[in-house]
Amino acid sequence: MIAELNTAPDLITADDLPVFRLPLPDVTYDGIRPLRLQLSAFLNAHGIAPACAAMLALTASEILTNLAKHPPEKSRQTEVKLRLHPKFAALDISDDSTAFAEFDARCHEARRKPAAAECLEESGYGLACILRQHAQVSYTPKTASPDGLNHFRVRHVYPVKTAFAASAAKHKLFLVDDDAVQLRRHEAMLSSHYDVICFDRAMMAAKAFEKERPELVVSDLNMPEMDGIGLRQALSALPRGNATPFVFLSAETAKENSPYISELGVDDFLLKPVKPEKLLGVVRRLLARAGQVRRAHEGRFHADVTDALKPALPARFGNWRICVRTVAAEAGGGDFTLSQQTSGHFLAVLADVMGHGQQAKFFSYAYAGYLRSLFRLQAAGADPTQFLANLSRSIDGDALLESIILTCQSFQLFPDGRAAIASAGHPPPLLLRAGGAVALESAGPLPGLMVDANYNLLTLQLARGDKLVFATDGFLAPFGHEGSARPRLIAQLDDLTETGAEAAADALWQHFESINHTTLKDDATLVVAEYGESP
Amino acid sequence: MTAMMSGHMFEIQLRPQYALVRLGGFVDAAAAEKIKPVLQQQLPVGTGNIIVDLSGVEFLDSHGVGLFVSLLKRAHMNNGKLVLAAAGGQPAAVLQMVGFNGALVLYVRSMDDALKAFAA
Repeated sequence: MIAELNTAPDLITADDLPVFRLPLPDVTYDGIRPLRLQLSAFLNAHGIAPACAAMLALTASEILTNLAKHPPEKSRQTEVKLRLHPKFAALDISDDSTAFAEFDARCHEARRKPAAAECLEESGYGLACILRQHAQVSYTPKTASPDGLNHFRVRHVYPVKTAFAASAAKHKLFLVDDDAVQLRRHEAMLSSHYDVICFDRAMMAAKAFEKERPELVVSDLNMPEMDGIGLRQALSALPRGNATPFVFLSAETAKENSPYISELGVDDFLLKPVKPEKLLGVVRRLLARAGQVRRAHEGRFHADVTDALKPALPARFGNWRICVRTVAAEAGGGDFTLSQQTSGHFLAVLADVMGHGQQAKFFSYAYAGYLRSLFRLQAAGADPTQFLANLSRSIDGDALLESIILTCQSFQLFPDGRAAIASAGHPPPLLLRAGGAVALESAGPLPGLMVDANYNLLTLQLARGDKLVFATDGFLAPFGHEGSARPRLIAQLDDLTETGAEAAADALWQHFESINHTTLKDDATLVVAEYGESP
Repeated sequence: MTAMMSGHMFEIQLRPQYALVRLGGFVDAAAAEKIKPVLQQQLPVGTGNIIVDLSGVEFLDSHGVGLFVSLLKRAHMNNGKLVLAAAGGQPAAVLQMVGFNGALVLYVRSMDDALKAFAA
């Protein structure tokens, strides 16, 4: 039985943004749990990804636990406020207890706190957790606050993956009409095919445009305050306004052929009353045309970026044979590889930038450039863990890089058949050898999750004919997410222990293509490295 | 010894080769405050090998981490090993975040795998 709070949060909308606000008369350990559950329910109801919601709930919990535990003078006026902006969540916990002294120095210390398993300290991880989860954390003591309260503020930028979560949804349309009957009538015609957002005032539609990003607007012409023409002009001033198809719906036949309206860049003019098939036909045609234009613009960019990112590794290193199979998603997160070799070793990185859509592809491109520089600058002879630790350190504190989720696997091959592997949030590799296939235990935190990330080095001695299989999420997803074991993949691999690298890669790739029935949303990459082939 | 307290579950079983600590629900400051003295009292001084079953843990915070550190210290002191079984989702992310790993900590997927770690 969990203690219940006496108060329920205010769930309000301010400036069109959802807000959770809960005043707490006093802060106790037992009161923190129900608050955390209410906060999680709020985040869940607004479609925030579970991982993000868990981070915000943990941060709120840590701040409140600290308030319950430490200040000599307890708070009597605490409030938890969380506002959901389109690209980030802003948490503000205010209180009137004794303020933290030397917050910046505490942060400095917390960022450098050694791993728990090394320092064996039983407390003092709260601030470290908060700082490792969010790029932007600030504290204003009550003496410096206009309202006389301490404010602990955190801004959490949603990862790219969350920002693109809505991409698979139905096309979103705005429907604007001050006549409630007409508005509902047209909504009924469109709502089974499209995600329709209705407005009875053009001003509200103009305000919501940037946040909602509709793909088409259907608007009445004559309305009080702002009319349809005013709305069209207001949207023209916004970045995506002119690229969004706009349809007038009006009973005024006289305006149908008005040159003024034509000059506004309106895509169609429909006369009321309109029949459902006519309205649906126009909407369908305009969305299809807008899609063609967008794809034509994006196509060139997509082709250039995809070519530049395409994973490739040298086919041979000493007695090793290395085969890469890859396919790029129409528009989505990018896989890429980096490699270098000397006579003594071959070092490679397989990276996967999460996310769907053109923007994710662009981020992959930018990230690949950054990683390439970092990879080249590393010390000669660096092992896979050193590269991942360097990468993690460079990401920490960089708001842009922290907002992108990247998984990374680094592996090193030696001429005598030894291999060394380290993973940063990447699916574990597999080893194929006589007797069957096994998933290797190689795991480590996502790059940038902590300042002093420790990556474990997995070292192996391969025998002639043994193969290592590395893959990105895009390749593994159709095999199911049953944890690192992925029995369906293992079963497939068991038949390939005696097969050469090239044939094994082909067989796996064919199997991947045969079971992947959906449109590819993520790049897929497979690397098979076999030891023992004569050079 | 099993205790089902408000919002969390806690159980200790003593076996010849290891102690099994089963945690569930919310392992936060409120839970840690109640669990820690019981752990100190119930775990025999010489206990080195410890399995923690995390399959029922829904939420872990930094105070919960303190419990794991106290268990690791115990394992360390008695030349044993701490095995964390079935840590998933949020608890696994928090343990990774604070760097709860190293030579004496073994993460396994299930209780079956944990038992194999101490099989004779």
